[in-house]
Amino acid sequence: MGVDEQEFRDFFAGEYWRLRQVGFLLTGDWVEADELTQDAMARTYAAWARIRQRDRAPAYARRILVNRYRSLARRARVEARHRLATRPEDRYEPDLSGDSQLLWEALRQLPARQRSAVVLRFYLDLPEAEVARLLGASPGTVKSWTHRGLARLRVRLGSQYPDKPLQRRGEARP
Amino acid sequence: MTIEEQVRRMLVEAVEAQPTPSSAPFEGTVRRHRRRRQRVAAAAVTALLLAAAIAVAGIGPRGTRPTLVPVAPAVPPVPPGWKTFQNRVYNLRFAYPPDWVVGRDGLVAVPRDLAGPGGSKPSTAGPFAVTLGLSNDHYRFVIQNGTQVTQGRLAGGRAFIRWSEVSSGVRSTTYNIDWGRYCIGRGSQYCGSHAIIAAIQAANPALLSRYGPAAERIIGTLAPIHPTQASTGDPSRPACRPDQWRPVLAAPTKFAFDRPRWVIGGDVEYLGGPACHLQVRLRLTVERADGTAVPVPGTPSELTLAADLPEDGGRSRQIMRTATMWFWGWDNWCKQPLSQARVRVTADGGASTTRPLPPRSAQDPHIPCRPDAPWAITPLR
Repeated sequence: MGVDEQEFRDFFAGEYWRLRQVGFLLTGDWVEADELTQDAMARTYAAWARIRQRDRAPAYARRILVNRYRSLARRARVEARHRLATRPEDRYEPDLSGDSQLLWEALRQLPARQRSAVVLRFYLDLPEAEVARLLGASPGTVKSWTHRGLARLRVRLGSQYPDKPLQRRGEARP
Repeated sequence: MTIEEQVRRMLVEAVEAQPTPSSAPFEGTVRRHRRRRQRVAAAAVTALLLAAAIAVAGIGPRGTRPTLVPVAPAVPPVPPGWKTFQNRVYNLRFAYPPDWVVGRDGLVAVPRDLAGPGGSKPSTAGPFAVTLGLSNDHYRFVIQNGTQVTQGRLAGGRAFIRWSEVSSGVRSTTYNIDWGRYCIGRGSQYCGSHAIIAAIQAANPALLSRYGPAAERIIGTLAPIHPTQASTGDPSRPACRPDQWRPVLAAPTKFAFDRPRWVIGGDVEYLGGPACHLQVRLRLTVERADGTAVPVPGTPSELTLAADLPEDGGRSRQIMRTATMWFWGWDNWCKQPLSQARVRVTADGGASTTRPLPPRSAQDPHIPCRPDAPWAITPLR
């Protein structure tokens, strides 16, 4: 085993599970999360020799995963729903209750960009600038997506958060 | 707790119990990397050979499209002059008019004049398309979304459910077609119920009016290449005993996306014993905490299931996307004035399961109850 491959193994061991969790939070499906994660890791492996700054490798893999997810989401919903990789026995719903269950259902209904922004900001705790780089948007746009995403999640929880009312025009306030 | 903290907590909880991947992650990644490299190499070789063939024979690439396979007249009959396409992986064939083109291995069919220069780019992103996909779910699974569907059968006898929607300005009519039970790929990797998802997508009503009838006829010609088993199982098996299964309500509480409807969904949990065929009637009732009945319009409501165990049965309170799943819709449920009430689902043999009514706060405020709409429970089929 060469030095590069051992390095990649170390990187893989450190990043794979976290990346897979992000894949699940984006897609809501562990089978799709596995697909996205393996694809992102395989592409990172292919580019390993070119990634000179190893500390940028996690961001590289994350960017591939997010881009692949966005490609999936851009396709017609019908087509995206019915890929061969989805096996009935692998379907999974997280065991949530109360507000977390409501938030999870609301998260699944967010548009792909808002959902990506919310997951990257609040699960990976990435700064807005990094999320913007991953999503290929300006920090201001990411701020807007995050704000809108949170507003929709807040609405789902009813009137528990009256201090931050929904600002979007045309939508009913809780 | 702020909404940000609440979201952080939910995200962590959602991935807390992640299931084991279906294959070893690192080895899978390396295999995938090698396959990608082989595919790139194969594509380069194919492109070179194709270019050489074109140069030698002087034929255009559209004349050599390898996926168009001439077949004998399909069932249902193909209109005269139509071309036929078949996809062996998806086990399907269909016919399309001569002035349409298909692309992406038959996953999209588009009128030639809307498919780019010379019909070279049929795309799902265009103003009009018929898209096709294969699902490993039973064709009725989409009902869990509370979608209002209509039922029907293709000319070849395949059952389908159909619904229409407008999303982001795109009008679509989708057919989920029962494609039966079979295995895809080597071994038994993708065995079970499958559905073909055929959707007609139009950017505006004029396109729908112009191309919609031909699109409907294309979908009407869909047929499997090889016969498949019924998705409702094998009735020649011994009947399942009552101790081999029980009805279970699904763990998550679901609501329709587009109407104030609580989707009461569940499945059949397989408890053990020899392979068998299940044919059962389920009955839904509403009751108070002391068990006295609440006369909700539409109740008691019944539906029947037919499926094989253990193949179709669930292992937990998850809906398994097979013929054992069942759904009722409670329209305008959030108007209900009851407290401490619950629904009960009872099987023929007496086994039952209950679920309290969700709190009214669970209703999405974007979809409020309709004051004048009826309050009723109906089976979703």
